[in-house]
Amino acid sequence: MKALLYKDLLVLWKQMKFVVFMVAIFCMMPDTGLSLNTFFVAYAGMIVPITLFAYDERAKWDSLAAMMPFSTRDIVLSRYVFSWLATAYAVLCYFIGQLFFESGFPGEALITLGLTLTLLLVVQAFYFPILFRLGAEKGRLVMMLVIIGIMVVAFLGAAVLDKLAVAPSPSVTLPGLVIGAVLSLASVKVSVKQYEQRVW
Amino acid sequence: MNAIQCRGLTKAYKDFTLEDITFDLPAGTILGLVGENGAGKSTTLKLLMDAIPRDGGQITVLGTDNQSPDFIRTKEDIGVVLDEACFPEVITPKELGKVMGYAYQNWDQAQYEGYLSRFRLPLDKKFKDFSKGMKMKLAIAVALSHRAKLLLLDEATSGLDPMVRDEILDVFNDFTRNEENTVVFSSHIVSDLEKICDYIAFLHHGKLVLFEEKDRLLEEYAILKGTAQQLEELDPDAVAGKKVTPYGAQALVRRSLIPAGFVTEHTNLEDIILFLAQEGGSDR
Repeated sequence: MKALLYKDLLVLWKQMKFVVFMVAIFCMMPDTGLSLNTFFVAYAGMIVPITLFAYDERAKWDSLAAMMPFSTRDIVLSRYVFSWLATAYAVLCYFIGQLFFESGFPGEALITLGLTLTLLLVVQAFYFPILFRLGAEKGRLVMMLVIIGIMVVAFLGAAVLDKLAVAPSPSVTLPGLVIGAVLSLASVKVSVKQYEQRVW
Repeated sequence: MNAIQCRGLTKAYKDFTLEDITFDLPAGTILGLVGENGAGKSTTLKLLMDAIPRDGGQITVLGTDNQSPDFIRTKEDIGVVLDEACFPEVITPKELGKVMGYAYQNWDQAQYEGYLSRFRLPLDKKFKDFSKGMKMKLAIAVALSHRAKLLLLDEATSGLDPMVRDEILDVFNDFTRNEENTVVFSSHIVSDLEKICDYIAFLHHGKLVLFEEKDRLLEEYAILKGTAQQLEELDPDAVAGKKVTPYGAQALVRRSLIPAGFVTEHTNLEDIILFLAQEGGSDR
């Protein structure tokens, strides 16, 4: 798996240096009310791995990887690990920004970050198996549908919580994060199956 | 020992079926896999590596069932070159060496650098800026730098100029100087196969029409020229394929079944393949 992660890191750095810097800058930026910093955390965790899928597809890397001493699990898990690392990088930038520009971590900011990460993990959990089955090109349309579907569910969930007068708090965010993490891990297994059944 | 044992291999797609492929390839030999585009050569190579699911059959590669968990370790001993080199566009040979060093336990960096130098490949040039020949040479350098015992080459010389092809064929010949090393080389450039192969497998419309030692093929078959009527008089088993034109007739015949008195000419692999393909591959 080290080889796959290193290859992805090289491709990311050489193809998407601009994105790496942009994520750092926007995640560190003080929040002006638009939550741009948390948006870029989600961007890093979602768009970076999707773009790597697309680069692999263009190079036909998958055909070669299938011939190399990698298990399907290694191939799938490495992409998940990479997306978690990309998210961790963005969160680290976010924390640095909070420390330097916001003088600490306001509870509200952490809750927003927690909800963003939950949403990101859920989107990844549903979308990655589709990407492993269909590839980046064919999976693009499905991605829009998945994201819209999950946004609608999230919006309705927020409306329900609002009606029940449950304000976003750590008691909502933490279970959400745990559910997101469990879904993400379960998604790895589903993706392995989808990748095995992919039509080559 | 056989490097590859393939029994009843079957794979069906919507519009194409690879049917009942069976052969044994002894270790230390070079097999040329020949066939028209879409005959099933690449599919066969992918199935040998268990890179795609199959519908039937059994494959043993270097003594390991290719669907057993141990096959991942066996893949360490198999070098693969695909028709497109399939490396990320932005990676340089130097960086690729590092990636492959992490991927293969037996990676030999010195050998890799030796091949890069032999093939005159720049260390720091991006893969996307390489010519087709350079890309193939890089893929071959990778395949030969992890102490592989089996090389699977899918159209590794297609689209290359004759000089580069010759240089690459020399490398494959060198590889098989070690008697344990085996090569499976798919190509539709029959002249390349004739130069280096010990065995020839001919795939036609998803069926294995023949699997034979090259020298035996060249000994067994000959070209007979005459009239259509002369060909009609021959034992049907003696004629593997024929071409009749208003100017005369030619047939690919089995020497041993031709009566004395008929004058035959030596043939080459390309003619054998062409005649057999025209016959629809029904002779074996």
